[in-house]
This record gives sequence, structure tokens and C-alpha cells, in this order.
Amino acid sequence: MNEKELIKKAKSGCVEAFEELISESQKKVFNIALKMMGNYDDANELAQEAFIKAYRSLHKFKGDSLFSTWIYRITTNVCLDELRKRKNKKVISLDQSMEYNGEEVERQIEDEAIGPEKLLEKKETKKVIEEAINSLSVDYKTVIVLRDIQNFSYEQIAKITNCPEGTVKSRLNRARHALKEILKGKKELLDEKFVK
Amino acid sequence: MKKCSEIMELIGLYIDNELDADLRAEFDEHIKVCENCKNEYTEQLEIVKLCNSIEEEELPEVFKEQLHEKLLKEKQRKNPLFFIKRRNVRIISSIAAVILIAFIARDFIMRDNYESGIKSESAKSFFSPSTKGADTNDLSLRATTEADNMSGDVSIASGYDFGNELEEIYGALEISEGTSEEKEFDEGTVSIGGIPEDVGNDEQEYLIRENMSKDLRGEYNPLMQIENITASEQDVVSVYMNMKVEDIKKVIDIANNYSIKLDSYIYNDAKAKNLYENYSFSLNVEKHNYNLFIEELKSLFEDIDISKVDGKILINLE
Repeated sequence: MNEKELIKKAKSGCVEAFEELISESQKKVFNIALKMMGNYDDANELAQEAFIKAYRSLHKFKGDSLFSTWIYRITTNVCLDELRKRKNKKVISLDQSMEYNGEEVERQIEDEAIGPEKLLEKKETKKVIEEAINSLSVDYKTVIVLRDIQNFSYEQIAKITNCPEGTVKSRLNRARHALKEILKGKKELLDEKFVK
Repeated sequence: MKKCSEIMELIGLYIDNELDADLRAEFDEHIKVCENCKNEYTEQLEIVKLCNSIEEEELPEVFKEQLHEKLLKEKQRKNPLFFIKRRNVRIISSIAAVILIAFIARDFIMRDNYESGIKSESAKSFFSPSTKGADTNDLSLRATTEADNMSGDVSIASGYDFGNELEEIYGALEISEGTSEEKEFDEGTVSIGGIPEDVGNDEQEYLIRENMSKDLRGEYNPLMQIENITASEQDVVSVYMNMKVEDIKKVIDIANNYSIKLDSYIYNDAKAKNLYENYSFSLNVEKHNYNLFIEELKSLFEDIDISKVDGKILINLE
């Protein structure tokens, strides 16, 4: 049965057809949620919520994009909604102002020749970078996860996030810059831990 | 010649190989002479490589199973009949009863016109389901069907949490509690139907249906349906079963093997002290399947007790 037929059957309520439709995207959806949320339990719950939402609103899918793209869009939206709902979230972005001696100043970008990754033990790299991604603003986090972890194209990301491609490009550039800054912010701690 | 700020804006596109040849060449030229932009580029490139190196995690073991259950629940929710709440069952049943009376009355009037002298006999037959007159059976079966259609079915998926469904059943049973003259099966009917075709034979899943019917006296009479079916179809054996709740699934699986469905009614055992531990229900088994059905039950349950009470076969699996 091809995708079109499966969609038709799933729209009529057939759970098995829907499950076959999402079989390819399940792992990716879970991993997007995992990187967006930063923990296993939330990822499990929100990835499932994304699929339930997709099942519930299948009638709205008109075939304008690939079915998988539509699912990924729902997934990022579900995660973004949840992240925005949560209070006390850590947000650090390049554009964000910070307080220094009681005055609000623009965040300065520290210039260092040595990349932060060189300071890390390979074993710990993943954990540290995931923590850094987790502390990005939600928009930056989304593009980093979609582009640099999930390897979606700019065009796909534009469709998933419902943003113009130009926005995706500039946002990604700033997001990578911000990510680098966060990792540098961890430098002191990392120095103590890993630099011999 | 581009400024550093402009080159910085291009770093991401350069890394992703999204720049055209001219811009790429310009970028290359710039970072050859500008240490600052070169550093920014190499650092971002390393970050991207780090991100690329993060491998995908496998799905949690329970993911598909949990999702399947949620989808089944969602499917039920999509069904408009799901929204017929328990509290509405009484109202719906009352409406059904009124329509039923109108239906029967019409039938009686018509009979009156064409079969003078039979009217009183017919009415009497209807009130006594065991009467085997062809006309009577026909009439009462039609009446039952009508009542079922009007009262509506409330379907609830119960794949993963049978306990919740039992609460639903219990709630439905409470509605009719004490309204019937029947001592043994006095609390309405709750049936376990066959698994819908489009859902497949997933053993996790049952369809629980609540069926409330009223006879002309305005009293719930769940036996009416069974009695009439068995009276008109002599090749069917009516079997009452008593078992622990956790065994219901096994029995239904066996029943499905013999196409025993639709007419499998589950009754509350009025004698059971705890509704959550003990259940009784009735099955209509075709005669030619009866022995096979019993044999299969015996193979699964050690303590199977078969007896005949008031002409009915009673199987105790406790």
C-alpha cells in the first residue's frame, strides 16, 4: 500500500494504517523531541503527543508537503509549546542582554582561537553539547536540532518551522554562534575538568 | 570586498555549502587574511561537526506499545457515540422505551385490523419471552432490535486498562440497579462484542458495549434478548460463565476462535461480593462448536466446573 492509500485509510480512523505511515519517522520524531527537551521522559511523552495530534488532525493534511515533513512540524510545535509553557527555563541567546555591575550591557563575544571542543574529552562531548543546546533559546535550539543534528535541508527546515528560508539561514548562523558562546561559557569548568 | 560583519553572516552558508561559487571564493580569500573571521569559522565548523557526531537514540522499548494504546483510545474518542455519557444512558433508554411502545402499539393496531381475536394472545406472548409462537418471537426480536438501536452503543477502548472499563461497566450497572424483577440478572446488560475489522485481532483490545433495554413494563429485562434468540435458534446453546476478571481476556480470545461474538453478553454476578474480582456472563455457542469450545476451555483452565442449572449450562472457571 502506498503512502497516499495509507493516508486515506488512516483518515478513516484505521490505526494500523497510521502506524505504518509513521513507522519511518518514529525514531526521528523521538530524537527531535529528545534534543529539544533534553531528557528521555519528556521526549517519550511529547513524541507520542505529536503522533496523537497528527492522528487527530489527519483531515487537515492536504498533501501540500511530504507527510513526514508535516509530522516533524507537529513535533517541533509540540515541543516548542511545551518549552514555552515551562517556567524558569534557561535562555541564552546571542541577542540577549545581560546585567553587569547593575547595568544592562550587550553580551560580548569573547574572541578565542581555541575551539571549546578541543577542551573536551570525547566521552563527555555529547553530554556537554546537549546541555549547551538545551540552554539555547527555543528558536535557536530548533534550527540547531533540525539542521546540525537531524541534518534536514534548509528547505525542509523552512517547511517544518513554517519560516522563510532566509530566516532559517540567518537564524542558524546566529544559533551556531550562540552555541559556541555557551560552550565557551563553560570553559572554566571544563578547564578544571579536562585540560591537563 | 566584503566587511567582516558580512563575512560572519555567511559562515553558516559556507559550512553548509550553500554559497554560490563567487561568494565562496570571496569567503575563502577573506579568511586567508582575516584571523578573526577565520577563527569564528573554524569554531563554528567544529560545533557543527560535534552536533553531526551525535548519534540517534533508539526508541524506548515501550514507545510503540504505549502509542498504540493511545491511538486506540483516540480512535474511540473520534467516534461520536463516545460522547454519549453514562448519565445520558437513562435518558436515552427512556426515549427508546417511548419509541418502542409507539412501535409495538402500531403493530398491535395493525394486527387488530387484520387478525381479530389474536391481539390479547400476542401481547401476552411478548411479555413472556419463553413462549415459542412464531409471530411472538418475530415481534419481540424486532422490538429488541429497535430498542438497541435507539438506546445507542457506548463503545470504550479498553486495551490497556481493564480496571477503568470495569468502573464504566459498574457505573452503567448502577443505573438500573434494583429496577428489575429478575433476581439473578437484574442489572441491565453489558456486552463484549467482537473486535472491529478495521482494528484487527489485537489481543490487547476489546470493545465493551453497554446495552440498556426496557420491556413494555418499563423494567430492565436483559434476559429478553438472549431468551428470544435461543428460542428461535435451536442450534444455539446458551452458556453462562463465571470467572475471575483476569480470565475474561482468555475466554474472549477462545470465544473469538469460534466466532462467538455480538451476542456475548456480560452480566454482573449479583452474588459476587466484589465486582472487580468476579464476573459472570452469557455466551451463545453454536451447537457444533460447543464441544470444541469446552475442550479448549478445559485445556486452559484446570478448575473448570460445568453444571446445569434451571436448564441452562453454567461453567465456573474460578
